[in-house]
Amino acid sequence: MKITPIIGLEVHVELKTKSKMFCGCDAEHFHTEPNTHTCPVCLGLPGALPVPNKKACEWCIKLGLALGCTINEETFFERKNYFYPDLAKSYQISQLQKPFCINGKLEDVRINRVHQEEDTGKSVHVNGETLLDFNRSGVPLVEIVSEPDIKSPEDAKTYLLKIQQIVRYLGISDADIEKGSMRCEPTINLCIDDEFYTPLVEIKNVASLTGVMTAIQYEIDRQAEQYSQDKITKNSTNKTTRGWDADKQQTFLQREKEGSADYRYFPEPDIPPIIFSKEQVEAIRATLPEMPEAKIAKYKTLGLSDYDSNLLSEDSYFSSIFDKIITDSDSVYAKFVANLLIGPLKTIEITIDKINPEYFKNLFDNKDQLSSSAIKQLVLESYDKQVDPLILAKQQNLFQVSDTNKLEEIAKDVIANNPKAVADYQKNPMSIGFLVGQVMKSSGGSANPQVAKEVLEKLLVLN
Amino acid sequence: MSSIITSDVIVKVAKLARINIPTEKVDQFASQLEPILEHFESLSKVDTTNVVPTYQTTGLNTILREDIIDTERMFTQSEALSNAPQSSNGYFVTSATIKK
Repeated sequence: MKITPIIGLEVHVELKTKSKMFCGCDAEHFHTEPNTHTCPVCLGLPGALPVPNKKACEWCIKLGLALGCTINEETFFERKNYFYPDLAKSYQISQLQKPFCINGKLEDVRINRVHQEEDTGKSVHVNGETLLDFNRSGVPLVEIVSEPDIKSPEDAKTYLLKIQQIVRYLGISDADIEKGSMRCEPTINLCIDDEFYTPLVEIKNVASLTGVMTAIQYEIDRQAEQYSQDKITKNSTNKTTRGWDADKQQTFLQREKEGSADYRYFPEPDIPPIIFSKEQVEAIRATLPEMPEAKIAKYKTLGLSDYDSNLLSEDSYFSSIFDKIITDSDSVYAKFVANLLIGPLKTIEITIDKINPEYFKNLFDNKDQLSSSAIKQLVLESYDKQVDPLILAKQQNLFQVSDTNKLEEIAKDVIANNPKAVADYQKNPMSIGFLVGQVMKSSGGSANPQVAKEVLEKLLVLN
Repeated sequence: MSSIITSDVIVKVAKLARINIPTEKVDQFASQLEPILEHFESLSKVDTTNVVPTYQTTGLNTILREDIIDTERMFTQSEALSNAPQSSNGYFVTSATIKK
Protein backbone atom coordinates (compact mmCIF):
# COMPACT_ATOMS: atom_id res chain seq x y z
CA MET A 1 0.00 0.00 0.00
CA LYS A 2 1.55 3.31 -1.07
CA ILE A 3 0.72 6.10 1.38
CA THR A 4 1.13 9.81 0.66
CA PRO A 5 0.19 12.09 3.56
CA ILE A 6 -1.63 15.30 2.61
CA ILE A 7 -1.31 17.92 5.30
CA GLY A 8 -2.66 21.44 5.54
CA LEU A 9 -2.08 23.73 8.49
CA GLU A 10 -4.28 26.37 10.02
CA VAL A 11 -2.13 28.58 12.17
CA HIS A 12 -3.60 31.08 14.61
CA VAL A 13 -1.42 33.91 15.79
CA GLU A 14 -2.51 36.20 18.59
CA LEU A 15 -1.53 39.79 17.86
CA LYS A 16 0.13 41.73 20.63
CA THR A 17 -1.90 44.88 20.29
CA LYS A 18 -2.54 46.83 23.46
CA SER A 19 -6.33 46.64 23.18
CA LYS A 20 -8.72 43.96 21.92
CA MET A 21 -9.96 43.51 18.35
CA PHE A 22 -13.39 45.12 18.59
CA CYS A 23 -13.33 46.99 21.90
CA GLY A 24 -10.92 49.05 23.98
CA CYS A 25 -10.39 46.41 26.68
CA ASP A 26 -6.84 45.61 27.71
CA ALA A 27 -5.78 42.65 25.52
CA GLU A 28 -3.45 41.20 28.16
CA HIS A 29 -4.87 37.89 29.37
CA PHE A 30 -1.85 35.90 30.48
CA HIS A 31 -1.63 35.60 34.28
CA THR A 32 -4.42 38.12 34.84
CA GLU A 33 -7.26 37.91 37.35
CA PRO A 34 -10.16 36.21 35.52
CA ASN A 35 -12.82 38.43 33.98
CA THR A 36 -11.14 41.73 34.79
CA HIS A 37 -10.57 42.79 31.15
CA THR A 38 -14.10 42.72 29.78
CA CYS A 39 -16.81 45.09 28.60
CA PRO A 40 -20.25 44.78 26.94
CA VAL A 41 -18.64 44.08 23.53
CA CYS A 42 -16.38 41.17 24.47
CA LEU A 43 -18.92 39.70 26.88
CA GLY A 44 -21.45 39.64 24.06
CA LEU A 45 -24.05 41.75 25.87
CA PRO A 46 -27.07 42.82 23.80
CA GLY A 47 -26.73 46.08 21.90
CA ALA A 48 -22.96 46.38 22.21
CA LEU A 49 -21.26 47.59 19.03
CA PRO A 50 -17.88 46.30 17.83
CA VAL A 51 -15.36 48.71 16.27
CA PRO A 52 -12.29 47.11 14.65
CA ASN A 53 -8.79 47.89 15.91
CA LYS A 54 -6.91 49.71 13.13
CA LYS A 55 -3.48 48.48 14.18
CA ALA A 56 -4.64 44.84 14.18
CA CYS A 57 -5.98 45.25 10.61
CA GLU A 58 -2.70 46.81 9.50
CA TRP A 59 -0.68 44.02 11.12
CA CYS A 60 -2.82 41.36 9.44
CA ILE A 61 -2.10 43.03 6.08
CA LYS A 62 1.58 43.33 6.99
CA LEU A 63 1.77 39.60 7.66
CA GLY A 64 -0.04 38.91 4.39
CA LEU A 65 2.48 41.04 2.52
CA ALA A 66 5.38 39.24 4.20
CA LEU A 67 3.84 35.96 2.99
CA GLY A 68 3.54 37.24 -0.56
CA CYS A 69 -0.25 37.57 -0.52
CA THR A 70 -2.51 39.71 -2.65
CA ILE A 71 -4.35 42.24 -0.49
CA ASN A 72 -8.07 42.68 -0.99
CA GLU A 73 -8.69 46.39 -1.22
CA GLU A 74 -12.25 46.08 0.07
CA THR A 75 -13.01 43.57 2.79
CA PHE A 76 -15.70 42.91 5.35
CA PHE A 77 -16.18 40.92 8.52
CA GLU A 78 -18.66 38.07 8.87
CA ARG A 79 -20.37 36.24 11.69
CA LYS A 80 -19.46 32.61 12.19
CA ASN A 81 -22.24 31.11 14.27
CA TYR A 82 -21.73 28.26 16.68
CA PHE A 83 -22.68 27.56 20.26
CA TYR A 84 -19.96 27.01 22.76
CA PRO A 85 -19.62 28.45 26.27
CA ASP A 86 -16.33 30.24 25.56
CA LEU A 87 -18.00 32.23 22.81
CA ALA A 88 -20.30 34.62 24.63
CA LYS A 89 -21.98 36.16 21.55
CA SER A 90 -22.63 32.68 20.08
CA TYR A 91 -20.80 33.88 17.00
CA GLN A 92 -17.23 34.73 16.24
CA ILE A 93 -16.46 37.78 14.11
CA SER A 94 -14.23 36.47 11.35
CA GLN A 95 -13.67 36.79 7.60
CA LEU A 96 -14.83 34.30 4.98
CA GLN A 97 -15.61 35.69 1.53
CA LYS A 98 -13.27 38.66 1.61
CA PRO A 99 -10.28 38.13 3.89
CA PHE A 100 -7.62 40.85 4.07
CA CYS A 101 -5.03 38.67 2.29
CA ILE A 102 -5.19 35.82 -0.23
CA ASN A 103 -2.93 33.63 -2.40
CA GLY A 104 0.45 33.81 -0.75
CA LYS A 105 3.38 31.44 -0.67
CA LEU A 106 5.94 30.39 1.87
CA GLU A 107 8.65 28.48 0.06
CA ASP A 108 6.90 25.37 -1.33
CA VAL A 109 3.69 25.83 0.60
CA ARG A 110 0.88 27.88 -0.93
CA ILE A 111 -0.99 30.12 1.47
CA ASN A 112 -4.72 30.16 0.83
CA ARG A 113 -5.50 33.15 3.02
CA VAL A 114 -4.54 35.29 5.97
CA HIS A 115 -7.60 36.63 7.72
CA GLN A 116 -8.53 38.59 10.78
CA GLU A 117 -10.72 37.31 13.59
CA GLU A 118 -11.06 37.32 17.38
CA ASP A 119 -10.06 34.89 20.09
CA THR A 120 -12.56 33.16 22.38
CA GLY A 121 -12.60 33.08 26.17
CA LYS A 122 -10.56 30.53 28.04
CA SER A 123 -12.14 27.41 29.58
CA VAL A 124 -10.77 25.59 32.56
CA HIS A 125 -12.22 22.16 33.20
CA VAL A 126 -12.40 21.14 36.86
CA ASN A 127 -14.51 18.69 38.86
CA GLY A 128 -17.24 18.20 36.30
CA GLU A 129 -17.60 21.94 35.74
CA THR A 130 -16.24 24.35 33.16
CA LEU A 131 -14.89 27.68 34.41
CA LEU A 132 -14.81 30.59 31.98
CA ASP A 133 -12.52 33.58 31.80
CA PHE A 134 -13.33 36.16 29.12
CA ASN A 135 -10.14 38.21 29.38
CA ARG A 136 -9.02 36.52 26.16
CA SER A 137 -12.39 36.96 24.47
CA GLY A 138 -12.00 39.40 21.58
CA VAL A 139 -8.20 39.46 21.50
CA PRO A 140 -7.12 39.92 17.87
CA LEU A 141 -6.28 36.67 16.15
CA VAL A 142 -4.87 36.21 12.67
CA GLU A 143 -5.46 32.91 10.92
CA ILE A 144 -3.04 31.70 8.27
CA VAL A 145 -4.49 28.88 6.18
CA SER A 146 -2.15 26.84 4.01
CA GLU A 147 -3.09 24.70 1.06
CA PRO A 148 -2.56 20.96 1.73
CA ASP A 149 0.98 21.12 0.34
CA ILE A 150 2.79 19.68 3.35
CA LYS A 151 3.91 16.07 3.06
CA SER A 152 5.42 15.06 6.41
CA PRO A 153 5.59 15.92 10.12
CA GLU A 154 9.09 17.35 9.56
CA ASP A 155 7.85 19.66 6.77
CA ALA A 156 5.05 20.80 9.08
CA LYS A 157 7.61 21.71 11.72
CA THR A 158 9.76 23.62 9.22
CA TYR A 159 6.72 25.53 7.98
CA LEU A 160 5.63 26.42 11.52
CA LEU A 161 9.09 27.61 12.50
CA LYS A 162 9.21 29.81 9.38
CA ILE A 163 5.82 31.34 10.18
CA GLN A 164 6.94 31.90 13.75
CA GLN A 165 10.15 33.56 12.60
CA ILE A 166 8.35 35.86 10.17
CA VAL A 167 5.72 36.86 12.75
CA ARG A 168 8.47 37.64 15.25
CA TYR A 169 10.48 39.59 12.66
CA LEU A 170 7.39 41.70 12.06
CA GLY A 171 7.04 42.22 15.81
CA ILE A 172 3.29 41.57 15.74
CA SER A 173 3.12 38.61 18.13
CA ASP A 174 5.24 36.56 20.54
CA ALA A 175 4.09 33.54 18.55
CA ASP A 176 4.79 31.34 21.56
CA ILE A 177 3.29 27.88 21.00
CA GLU A 178 3.59 26.80 24.63
CA LYS A 179 1.92 30.00 25.84
CA GLY A 180 -0.81 29.64 23.22
CA SER A 181 -0.13 32.88 21.33
CA MET A 182 0.55 30.65 18.32
CA ARG A 183 -1.70 27.63 17.75
CA CYS A 184 -1.75 25.09 15.02
CA GLU A 185 -4.49 22.84 13.74
CA PRO A 186 -3.33 20.33 11.17
CA THR A 187 -5.82 18.80 8.74
CA ILE A 188 -4.67 15.44 7.46
CA ASN A 189 -5.69 12.73 5.13
CA LEU A 190 -3.87 10.17 3.05
CA CYS A 191 -3.69 9.39 -0.61
CA ILE A 192 -3.58 5.61 -0.96
CA ASP A 193 -1.95 4.06 -4.01
CA ASP A 194 -2.28 7.42 -5.87
CA GLU A 195 -6.01 6.76 -6.14
CA PHE A 196 -8.04 6.74 -2.92
CA TYR A 197 -8.33 9.44 -0.29
CA THR A 198 -9.03 8.79 3.38
CA PRO A 199 -11.54 11.03 5.23
CA LEU A 200 -10.25 14.43 6.38
CA VAL A 201 -9.35 14.81 10.03
CA GLU A 202 -8.67 18.09 11.78
CA ILE A 203 -6.57 17.82 14.94
CA LYS A 204 -7.12 20.18 17.86
CA ASN A 205 -5.44 20.87 21.22
CA VAL A 206 -1.88 20.51 20.04
CA ALA A 207 0.14 22.65 22.42
CA SER A 208 3.76 22.21 21.40
CA LEU A 209 5.94 21.88 18.34
CA THR A 210 6.83 18.29 19.19
CA GLY A 211 3.12 17.70 19.77
CA VAL A 212 2.33 18.86 16.22
CA MET A 213 4.80 16.39 14.76
CA THR A 214 3.81 13.47 16.98
CA ALA A 215 0.09 14.11 16.45
CA ILE A 216 0.50 14.22 12.66
CA GLN A 217 2.55 11.01 12.65
CA TYR A 218 0.02 9.30 14.93
CA GLU A 219 -2.83 10.36 12.65
CA ILE A 220 -1.01 9.17 9.51
CA ASP A 221 -0.52 5.74 11.07
CA ARG A 222 -4.07 5.63 12.45
CA GLN A 223 -5.65 6.51 9.11
CA ALA A 224 -3.55 3.98 7.23
CA GLU A 225 -4.61 1.30 9.70
CA GLN A 226 -8.25 2.41 9.57
CA TYR A 227 -8.28 2.42 5.79
CA SER A 228 -6.80 -1.04 5.53
CA GLN A 229 -9.71 -2.25 7.68
CA ASP A 230 -12.75 -0.37 6.38
CA LYS A 231 -11.68 1.08 2.99
CA ILE A 232 -13.79 4.17 3.73
CA THR A 233 -12.85 7.15 1.55
CA LYS A 234 -13.31 10.87 1.88
CA ASN A 235 -16.65 12.46 1.07
CA SER A 236 -18.23 15.85 1.69
CA THR A 237 -19.75 14.86 5.04
CA ASN A 238 -17.26 12.62 6.81
CA LYS A 239 -14.71 15.17 7.94
CA THR A 240 -14.12 14.83 11.70
CA THR A 241 -12.33 16.69 14.45
CA ARG A 242 -10.03 14.75 16.73
CA GLY A 243 -8.41 16.03 19.89
CA TRP A 244 -4.76 15.39 20.71
CA ASP A 245 -4.22 13.77 24.08
CA ALA A 246 -0.62 14.61 24.96
CA ASP A 247 -0.60 12.23 27.94
CA LYS A 248 -1.77 9.21 25.99
CA GLN A 249 0.03 10.37 22.84
CA GLN A 250 -3.01 9.68 20.69
CA THR A 251 -5.89 11.46 18.98
CA PHE A 252 -9.50 10.86 19.99
CA LEU A 253 -12.74 11.63 18.18
CA GLN A 254 -14.19 14.95 19.34
CA ARG A 255 -17.07 15.66 17.01
CA GLU A 256 -18.32 15.32 13.52
CA LYS A 257 -17.06 18.50 11.89
CA GLU A 258 -19.53 21.25 11.06
CA GLY A 259 -19.45 22.08 7.40
CA SER A 260 -19.02 25.70 6.41
CA ALA A 261 -22.80 25.92 5.79
CA ASP A 262 -23.51 24.88 9.37
CA TYR A 263 -21.76 27.99 10.64
CA ARG A 264 -24.30 30.12 8.77
CA TYR A 265 -21.76 32.78 7.92
CA PHE A 266 -23.22 36.14 7.02
CA PRO A 267 -21.78 39.65 6.72
CA GLU A 268 -21.45 41.36 10.10
CA PRO A 269 -24.14 44.05 10.00
CA ASP A 270 -22.54 46.05 12.83
CA ILE A 271 -19.26 46.69 11.03
CA PRO A 272 -19.18 48.66 7.75
CA PRO A 273 -16.89 47.34 5.01
CA ILE A 274 -13.22 48.19 5.30
CA ILE A 275 -11.21 49.75 2.51
CA PHE A 276 -7.44 49.87 2.43
CA SER A 277 -6.38 51.75 -0.69
CA LYS A 278 -3.41 50.66 -2.79
CA GLU A 279 -1.48 53.62 -1.39
CA GLN A 280 -2.24 52.57 2.18
CA VAL A 281 -1.20 48.99 1.43
CA GLU A 282 2.04 50.25 -0.13
CA ALA A 283 2.65 52.37 2.97
CA ILE A 284 2.31 49.22 5.09
CA ARG A 285 4.64 47.36 2.71
CA ALA A 286 7.22 50.10 3.24
CA THR A 287 7.29 49.25 6.94
CA LEU A 288 8.28 45.61 6.31
CA PRO A 289 11.69 44.90 7.84
CA GLU A 290 14.39 43.01 5.98
CA MET A 291 13.10 39.43 6.14
CA PRO A 292 15.14 36.33 7.13
CA GLU A 293 15.62 35.11 3.54
CA ALA A 294 17.04 38.50 2.49
CA LYS A 295 19.29 38.59 5.55
CA ILE A 296 20.68 35.13 4.83
CA ALA A 297 21.43 36.10 1.23
CA LYS A 298 23.16 39.28 2.42
CA TYR A 299 25.29 37.42 4.97
CA LYS A 300 26.40 34.92 2.38
CA THR A 301 27.68 37.72 0.15
CA LEU A 302 29.75 38.85 3.15
CA GLY A 303 31.50 35.49 2.95
CA LEU A 304 29.72 33.86 5.87
CA SER A 305 28.90 30.16 5.78
CA ASP A 306 25.33 28.87 5.45
CA TYR A 307 25.52 27.82 9.07
CA ASP A 308 26.61 31.24 10.34
CA SER A 309 24.13 33.06 8.09
CA ASN A 310 21.25 30.96 9.38
CA LEU A 311 22.27 31.35 13.01
CA LEU A 312 22.62 35.12 12.71
CA SER A 313 19.29 35.62 10.98
CA GLU A 314 17.35 33.29 13.26
CA ASP A 315 16.24 36.15 15.42
CA SER A 316 15.66 39.67 14.10
CA TYR A 317 17.04 41.38 17.19
CA PHE A 318 20.18 39.28 17.12
CA SER A 319 20.76 39.96 13.44
CA SER A 320 20.14 43.68 13.93
CA ILE A 321 23.10 43.66 16.33
CA PHE A 322 25.28 42.15 13.63
CA ASP A 323 23.92 44.68 11.13
CA LYS A 324 24.82 47.52 13.46
CA ILE A 325 28.46 46.37 13.61
CA ILE A 326 28.86 45.36 9.99
CA THR A 327 27.51 48.11 7.79
CA ASP A 328 29.79 47.75 4.75
CA SER A 329 28.84 45.21 2.16
CA ASP A 330 32.53 44.36 1.67
CA SER A 331 33.51 44.21 5.28
CA VAL A 332 36.64 42.16 5.86
CA TYR A 333 35.79 41.43 9.46
CA ALA A 334 32.27 40.03 9.04
CA LYS A 335 33.43 36.49 9.83
CA PHE A 336 35.41 37.71 12.84
CA VAL A 337 32.34 39.51 14.25
CA ALA A 338 30.00 36.62 13.43
CA ASN A 339 32.24 34.27 15.44
CA LEU A 340 32.13 36.60 18.43
CA LEU A 341 28.35 37.02 18.25
CA ILE A 342 27.62 33.33 17.80
CA GLY A 343 30.31 32.48 20.37
CA PRO A 344 30.94 34.44 23.57
CA LEU A 345 28.23 37.08 23.07
CA LYS A 346 25.54 34.45 22.58
CA THR A 347 25.94 33.52 26.24
CA ILE A 348 24.78 36.89 27.55
CA GLU A 349 21.74 39.13 27.14
CA ILE A 350 22.69 41.94 24.77
CA THR A 351 21.17 45.40 24.53
CA ILE A 352 21.77 46.79 21.06
CA ASP A 353 22.30 50.34 22.33
CA LYS A 354 25.34 49.16 24.27
CA ILE A 355 26.99 47.71 21.18
CA ASN A 356 29.87 49.89 19.97
CA PRO A 357 30.98 48.94 16.42
CA GLU A 358 34.30 50.73 16.98
CA TYR A 359 35.26 48.23 19.69
CA PHE A 360 34.84 45.34 17.28
CA LYS A 361 36.92 47.08 14.63
CA ASN A 362 39.71 47.76 17.15
CA LEU A 363 39.71 44.13 18.25
CA PHE A 364 39.86 42.96 14.65
CA ASP A 365 42.73 45.31 13.79
CA ASN A 366 44.76 43.95 16.73
CA LYS A 367 43.70 40.33 16.61
CA ASP A 368 47.21 39.14 15.74
CA GLN A 369 48.56 40.49 18.99
CA LEU A 370 45.83 38.90 21.09
CA SER A 371 45.22 35.29 21.98
CA SER A 372 41.81 33.89 21.07
CA SER A 373 40.89 33.53 24.72
CA ALA A 374 41.94 37.15 25.31
CA ILE A 375 39.67 38.25 22.45
CA LYS A 376 36.74 36.38 23.96
CA GLN A 377 37.41 37.90 27.33
CA LEU A 378 37.84 41.41 25.91
CA VAL A 379 34.68 41.39 23.84
CA LEU A 380 32.62 40.53 26.90
CA GLU A 381 34.45 42.89 29.23
CA SER A 382 34.39 45.84 26.84
CA TYR A 383 30.64 45.31 26.40
CA ASP A 384 30.12 45.02 30.11
CA LYS A 385 32.25 48.01 31.12
CA GLN A 386 31.65 50.04 27.95
CA VAL A 387 35.40 50.57 27.59
CA ASP A 388 37.52 50.22 24.46
CA PRO A 389 38.94 46.65 24.45
CA LEU A 390 42.39 47.97 23.50
CA ILE A 391 42.53 50.01 26.70
CA LEU A 392 41.54 46.92 28.66
CA ALA A 393 44.13 44.81 26.83
CA LYS A 394 46.86 47.30 27.70
CA GLN A 395 45.78 47.50 31.34
CA GLN A 396 45.78 43.75 31.69
CA ASN A 397 48.92 43.21 29.66
CA LEU A 398 47.15 40.99 27.18
CA PHE A 399 49.06 42.04 24.08
CA GLN A 400 51.27 39.24 22.89
CA VAL A 401 54.91 39.81 22.16
CA SER A 402 55.53 38.90 18.55
CA ASP A 403 58.77 40.80 18.33
CA THR A 404 61.25 38.06 17.39
CA ASN A 405 64.31 39.81 18.84
CA LYS A 406 62.68 40.06 22.22
CA LEU A 407 61.44 36.49 22.09
CA GLU A 408 64.84 35.22 20.95
CA GLU A 409 66.43 36.54 24.11
CA ILE A 410 63.89 34.76 26.26
CA ALA A 411 64.16 31.59 24.15
CA LYS A 412 67.97 31.49 24.51
CA ASP A 413 67.64 31.60 28.28
CA VAL A 414 65.03 28.87 28.22
CA ILE A 415 67.26 26.65 26.05
CA ALA A 416 70.26 27.22 28.32
CA ASN A 417 68.28 26.39 31.45
CA ASN A 418 66.52 23.28 30.15
CA PRO A 419 69.14 20.92 28.67
CA LYS A 420 67.00 17.87 29.29
CA ALA A 421 64.03 19.28 27.41
CA VAL A 422 66.35 20.29 24.58
CA ALA A 423 67.71 16.75 24.43
CA ASP A 424 64.16 15.42 24.36
CA TYR A 425 63.36 17.72 21.50
CA GLN A 426 66.34 16.52 19.49
CA LYS A 427 64.95 12.98 19.78
CA ASN A 428 61.33 13.90 19.37
CA PRO A 429 60.45 17.26 17.77
CA MET A 430 56.85 16.85 18.94
CA SER A 431 57.98 17.58 22.51
CA ILE A 432 58.64 21.27 21.76
CA GLY A 433 55.47 22.18 23.67
CA PHE A 434 57.30 22.13 26.97
CA LEU A 435 59.87 24.69 25.76
CA VAL A 436 57.15 26.90 24.26
CA GLY A 437 55.44 26.77 27.62
CA GLN A 438 58.64 27.91 29.34
CA VAL A 439 58.94 30.87 26.95
CA MET A 440 55.32 31.76 27.65
CA LYS A 441 56.00 31.56 31.37
CA SER A 442 59.15 33.71 31.23
CA SER A 443 57.31 36.34 29.17
CA GLY A 444 54.54 36.52 31.75
CA GLY A 445 52.09 34.97 29.31
CA SER A 446 52.51 37.73 26.78
CA ALA A 447 54.44 35.82 24.12
CA ASN A 448 52.61 34.87 20.95
CA PRO A 449 52.86 31.06 21.19
CA GLN A 450 53.11 30.58 17.43
CA VAL A 451 55.97 33.04 17.10
CA ALA A 452 57.66 31.61 20.19
CA LYS A 453 57.55 28.14 18.64
CA GLU A 454 59.06 29.40 15.40
CA VAL A 455 61.85 31.19 17.24
CA LEU A 456 62.66 28.08 19.27
CA GLU A 457 62.72 25.86 16.21
CA LYS A 458 65.05 28.25 14.47
CA LEU A 459 67.43 28.44 17.46
CA LEU A 460 67.45 24.69 18.07
CA VAL A 461 68.36 23.94 14.45
CA LEU A 462 71.22 26.42 14.69
CA ASN A 463 72.43 24.66 17.86
CA MET B 1 -44.25 21.55 -1.77
CA SER B 2 -42.40 18.40 -0.92
CA SER B 3 -41.35 17.83 2.63
CA ILE B 4 -37.85 19.29 3.24
CA ILE B 5 -37.89 18.98 7.00
CA THR B 6 -37.05 15.36 7.57
CA SER B 7 -36.37 13.99 11.01
CA ASP B 8 -32.67 13.92 10.06
CA VAL B 9 -32.73 17.68 9.56
CA ILE B 10 -34.32 18.17 12.99
CA VAL B 11 -31.67 16.02 14.63
CA LYS B 12 -28.89 17.90 12.89
CA VAL B 13 -30.23 21.38 13.67
CA ALA B 14 -30.80 20.38 17.29
CA LYS B 15 -27.22 19.20 17.49
CA LEU B 16 -25.84 22.45 16.02
CA ALA B 17 -28.02 24.46 18.41
CA ARG B 18 -26.96 22.26 21.33
CA ILE B 19 -30.61 21.49 22.17
CA ASN B 20 -31.70 18.11 23.43
CA ILE B 21 -34.80 16.93 21.60
CA PRO B 22 -36.34 13.66 22.83
CA THR B 23 -36.63 11.10 20.03
CA GLU B 24 -40.42 10.92 20.32
CA LYS B 25 -40.68 14.70 19.73
CA VAL B 26 -38.63 14.76 16.52
CA ASP B 27 -41.57 14.07 14.19
CA GLN B 28 -43.69 16.63 16.01
CA PHE B 29 -41.04 19.35 15.49
CA ALA B 30 -40.61 18.34 11.88
CA SER B 31 -44.29 18.81 11.15
CA GLN B 32 -44.32 22.17 12.98
CA LEU B 33 -41.23 23.54 11.27
CA GLU B 34 -42.46 22.63 7.82
CA PRO B 35 -45.19 25.33 7.58
CA ILE B 36 -42.84 27.96 9.04
CA LEU B 37 -40.35 27.29 6.29
CA GLU B 38 -43.10 27.24 3.72
CA HIS B 39 -44.13 30.67 4.89
CA PHE B 40 -40.66 32.08 4.36
CA GLU B 41 -40.46 30.24 1.08
CA SER B 42 -42.90 32.85 -0.25
CA LEU B 43 -40.02 35.36 -0.11
CA SER B 44 -38.31 33.53 -2.93
CA LYS B 45 -41.20 34.47 -5.21
CA VAL B 46 -39.99 38.08 -5.17
CA ASP B 47 -38.00 39.00 -8.28
CA THR B 48 -34.60 40.26 -7.03
CA THR B 49 -32.80 40.20 -10.38
CA ASN B 50 -31.77 43.86 -10.26
CA VAL B 51 -31.46 44.24 -6.51
CA VAL B 52 -27.98 44.65 -5.09
CA PRO B 53 -27.56 42.60 -1.88
CA THR B 54 -27.78 44.86 1.16
CA TYR B 55 -25.53 44.05 4.08
CA GLN B 56 -25.16 47.60 5.19
CA THR B 57 -27.51 50.53 5.20
CA THR B 58 -25.33 53.33 6.54
CA GLY B 59 -23.14 53.87 3.47
CA LEU B 60 -20.17 54.15 5.79
CA ASN B 61 -16.87 52.37 5.36
CA THR B 62 -13.63 51.83 7.26
CA ILE B 63 -14.79 52.80 10.71
CA LEU B 64 -11.82 51.82 12.80
CA ARG B 65 -10.47 52.72 16.21
CA GLU B 66 -6.90 53.42 17.32
CA ASP B 67 -5.22 50.76 19.45
CA ILE B 68 -5.84 52.43 22.79
CA ILE B 69 -7.01 50.81 26.02
CA ASP B 70 -10.28 52.33 27.19
CA THR B 71 -10.54 51.56 30.91
CA GLU B 72 -13.70 53.69 31.19
CA ARG B 73 -15.74 51.00 29.48
CA MET B 74 -14.16 48.04 31.22
CA PHE B 75 -16.08 46.14 33.89
CA THR B 76 -14.81 45.22 37.29
CA GLN B 77 -14.83 41.50 37.95
CA SER B 78 -17.98 41.70 40.07
CA GLU B 79 -19.75 43.81 37.42
CA ALA B 80 -18.80 41.27 34.75
CA LEU B 81 -20.18 38.41 36.82
CA SER B 82 -23.25 40.23 38.14
CA ASN B 83 -25.68 38.54 35.73
CA ALA B 84 -24.09 35.11 35.84
CA PRO B 85 -26.39 32.39 37.20
CA GLN B 86 -23.32 30.75 38.69
CA SER B 87 -19.81 31.99 39.33
CA SER B 88 -16.83 30.88 41.37
CA ASN B 89 -13.51 32.55 42.23
CA GLY B 90 -13.98 35.18 39.54
CA TYR B 91 -15.00 32.68 36.84
CA PHE B 92 -18.30 32.07 35.10
CA VAL B 93 -19.36 28.48 35.75
CA THR B 94 -21.15 26.15 33.34
CA SER B 95 -21.66 22.44 33.28
CA ALA B 96 -18.70 20.54 31.90
CA THR B 97 -18.12 20.86 28.15
CA ILE B 98 -15.63 18.04 27.93
CA LYS B 99 -16.27 14.49 29.04
CA LYS B 100 -13.17 12.73 30.18
